[in-house]
Amino acid sequence: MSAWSRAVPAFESKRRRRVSWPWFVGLPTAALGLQTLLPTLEPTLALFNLPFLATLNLMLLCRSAVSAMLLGALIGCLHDGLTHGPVGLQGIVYAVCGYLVARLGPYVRSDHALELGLFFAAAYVTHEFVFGVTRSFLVSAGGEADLALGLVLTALHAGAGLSVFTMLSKAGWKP
Amino acid sequence: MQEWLARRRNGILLGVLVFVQVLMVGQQIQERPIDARVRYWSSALFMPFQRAGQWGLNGLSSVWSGYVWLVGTAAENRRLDAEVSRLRLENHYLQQEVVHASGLAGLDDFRTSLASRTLSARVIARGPSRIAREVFLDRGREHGVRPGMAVIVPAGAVGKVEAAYWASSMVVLLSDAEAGAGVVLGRSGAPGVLRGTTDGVVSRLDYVPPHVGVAVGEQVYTSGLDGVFPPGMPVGEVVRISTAREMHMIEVSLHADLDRVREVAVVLQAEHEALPESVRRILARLPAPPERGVGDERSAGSLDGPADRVKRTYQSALQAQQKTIGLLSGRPPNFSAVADSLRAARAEISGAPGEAE
Repeated sequence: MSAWSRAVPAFESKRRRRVSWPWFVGLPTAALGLQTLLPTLEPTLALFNLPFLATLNLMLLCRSAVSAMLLGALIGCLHDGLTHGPVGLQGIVYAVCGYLVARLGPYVRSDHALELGLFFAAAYVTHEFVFGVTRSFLVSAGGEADLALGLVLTALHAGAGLSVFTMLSKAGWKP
Repeated sequence: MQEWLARRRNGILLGVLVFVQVLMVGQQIQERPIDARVRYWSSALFMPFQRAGQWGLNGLSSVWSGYVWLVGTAAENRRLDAEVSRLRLENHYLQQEVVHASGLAGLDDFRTSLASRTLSARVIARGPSRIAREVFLDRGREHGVRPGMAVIVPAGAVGKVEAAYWASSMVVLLSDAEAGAGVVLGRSGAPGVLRGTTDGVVSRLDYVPPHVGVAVGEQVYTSGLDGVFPPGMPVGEVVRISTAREMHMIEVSLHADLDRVREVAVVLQAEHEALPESVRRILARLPAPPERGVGDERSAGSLDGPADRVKRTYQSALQAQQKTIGLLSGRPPNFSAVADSLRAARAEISGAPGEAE
């Protein structure tokens, strides 16, 4: 056994399930495409961050920090490529979230809805916080925080994340 | 060492990823083209699917609203019966107007009424970020769209083309926090800068002089000073004014519903639009521009001024010495031979012959 494989914690090795690469990259990319398409029909759908939810679920499923961070950086850069802001901001945020999900994900019981919901809510709050801090430090762009909207969005994303996780679990993808 | 690396490989990878992307952001702040490449490939990857997806969604939407989602149809039928009897009384001309007032037909009428040369386009996608407000159009470089062009609808200004790809383009909406437009108030004619806000609901009107009286309900038009929007386009209406530290804090509600905009016109060549009567009255009161003298070179049709002569003098001196500006090779160019002619030209620019030095 090499040093690299010894570094993987035992519970990760036992519970890790391979998600094939086309799905691993294709699903968040499709979510990103959908995210740009759906608000043309209904503008309120722009409040959801579908690519983040898809990426988060796959990060949770793959349980590999390296894959999670690389996927995060890739989807984040694609996400930025479809905005007029600097490319790399979302990449940083997604990579940090990937790292945290891979570190904390194994401690979340996947059959416990409340725990999973709280995990998704915490992940969304982390995403928004890291994005706000990164944006403020790197491009000096601030924004007014709307606490009420933030709480609603956190609850919505927790519910949506849980739904996506349930769908993926029913499709046979389990951590 | 190897074990240490293995134990910390995730942290190291995270550090590398973050560092690389911080460098990328830094490169973009220095206006290097790395973001343009990422944007080009992101757009190339998604836009064909968005175009097809938009077509499919439009079909699904019409099937859904026409055949599936029929809640309230009976009530709507009763309302329509009553409306039909009223509409019978209206003449043919008004019915045609109603038909043409919506959708692309309305946009075409609007385009032909404009002085500027425009191109109609359809919104095929929106930006994925909640805080950044941009839309993608189905027209790009092959249709003549270029970055910096204005995008408008009959209701008013919409935004500016940020990036133009081969068959699509990205437009930053006026409601975006980083967007801005030069505007003029309809009643007073005072200039200002319209900026988007993070919530995107209303826009902010900055730099209006504090002595200018502004009223709620006052119309706001483009001034043309930003070099993007043709002057005289309607933009919005003042909805709220507060004054703090002798500065106006003006909120403007945009006329165009930017969240639901579907068909737009891209201004390929901007011309001055017909100004509203209130602005024309103000302009009529302003003094006429001063007459130019008979000996003025510009009024005589020549655009060759003293500054052009300074530039030509430098260029001829460089050519004579076979030097190129910007190349660090050999001795620097010697301009002492042309010092007299330079001095004369400078004196002419400053307007006081003999006192330039």
